[in-house]
Amino acid sequence: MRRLPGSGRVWRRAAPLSVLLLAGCATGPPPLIEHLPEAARSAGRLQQEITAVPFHPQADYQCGPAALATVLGWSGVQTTPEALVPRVYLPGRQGSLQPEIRATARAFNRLAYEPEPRLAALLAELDAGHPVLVLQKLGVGPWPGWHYAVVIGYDAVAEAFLLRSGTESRLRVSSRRFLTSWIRGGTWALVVLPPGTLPASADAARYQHAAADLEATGSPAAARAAWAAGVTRWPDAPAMWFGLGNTAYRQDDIAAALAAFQRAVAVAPTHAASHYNLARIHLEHGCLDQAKTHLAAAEDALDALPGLAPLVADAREALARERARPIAPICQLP
Amino acid sequence: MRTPFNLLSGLLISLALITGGTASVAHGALLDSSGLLAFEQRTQHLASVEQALAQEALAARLAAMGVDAAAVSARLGQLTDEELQLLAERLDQLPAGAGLLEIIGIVFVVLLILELVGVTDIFKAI
Repeated sequence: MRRLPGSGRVWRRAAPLSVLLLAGCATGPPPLIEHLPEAARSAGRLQQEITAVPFHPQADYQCGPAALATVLGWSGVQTTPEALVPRVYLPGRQGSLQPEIRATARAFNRLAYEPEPRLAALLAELDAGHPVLVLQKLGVGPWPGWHYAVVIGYDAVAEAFLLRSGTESRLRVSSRRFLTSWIRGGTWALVVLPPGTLPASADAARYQHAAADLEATGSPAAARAAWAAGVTRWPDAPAMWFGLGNTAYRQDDIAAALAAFQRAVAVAPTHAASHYNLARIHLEHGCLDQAKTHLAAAEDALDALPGLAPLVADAREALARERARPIAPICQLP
Repeated sequence: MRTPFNLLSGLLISLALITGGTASVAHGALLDSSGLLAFEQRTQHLASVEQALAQEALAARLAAMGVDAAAVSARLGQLTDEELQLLAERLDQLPAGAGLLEIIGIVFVVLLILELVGVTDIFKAI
């Protein structure tokens, strides 16, 4: 591995960026190159600028709508800050809040993924060509100066970042200055992706969260695409198959739903939630024996998921009611 | 005229929220992915009554903070339970990205750079 001049052991070791930058006050931030993805380093991609990102200059206090319109535009949703103001701007706070920014991105059927709060994750997204919406804290004390901007590139040669920010279409900020404001702002970042595109820095748990949120509030088709990408990246994660099953079910694709839930219990035989959903689908289709089997499997695995117990109990009762019918239902699966 | 209208729309929104407050645990009888996450993280999943109350509370606060009555329901509708709870509890405290200070900062930096550049040029010229 290549060693860089001035790269202290501390920088490579330090995991939490805040600790890293605290120390950075004394010795300067680590060279960006140390946090670049290995592929970028070995290919010599030390500079990156994502040019296909629209620019929407902000008006008044409305950097939230402007930054969101910017990343949405890149992801293929043509919109304007003005159109987003009613959804994300909060007049009483003269600004926009992170949960509403994220929720609005989903309302356009986009995956709103929050990368890990680490410099390496930020650089990985940029290297993959994904612009990153960030929250910066530029002020102090009673004037915190919270500000949303979109990072569109980095320069690991000159130690700088490129931003679409406020009224600046291409703001070049020193890495030190940017990282300080980003960390002071809570190291929060958001990538807005067409569903089916994986974040470069994707962490399974974070991806599961983002896709589950899209499933809860977006269209079933969008969420299904996100889960489909999830199962290709993490084929051994039952939660991805579980999500795929749910969204297929919501689209009335029962055969695909069954197949996905079955994959979930194939990779994780004690995945109680998938057994429960399998039981429910079988119950709906009059397949009482299979429903019983899956309910038993769900019950056996309840220790890992105690919250599911009342739902399993309900399903038990539903099964008993079906059994009590004078004429047994016919098992018919698509 | 304005006040009764606002009152009426507020009431209608609340009514719509209470009656239309969906239980997100299940579609049909299935457990959805948010429900699974809530169970996995052992967080309390909102019962539909609690959810309706949180929505009602947030709707009132959004309206009080100047959000159009027409936009309130769209804003509530796009939130997950987790976001709904967070906003209902911390609408005043969450950082509100605005960027006023940054504009001042940029002007300052630009002036500073101009000055530095100017000084340098003048210095060279002389």
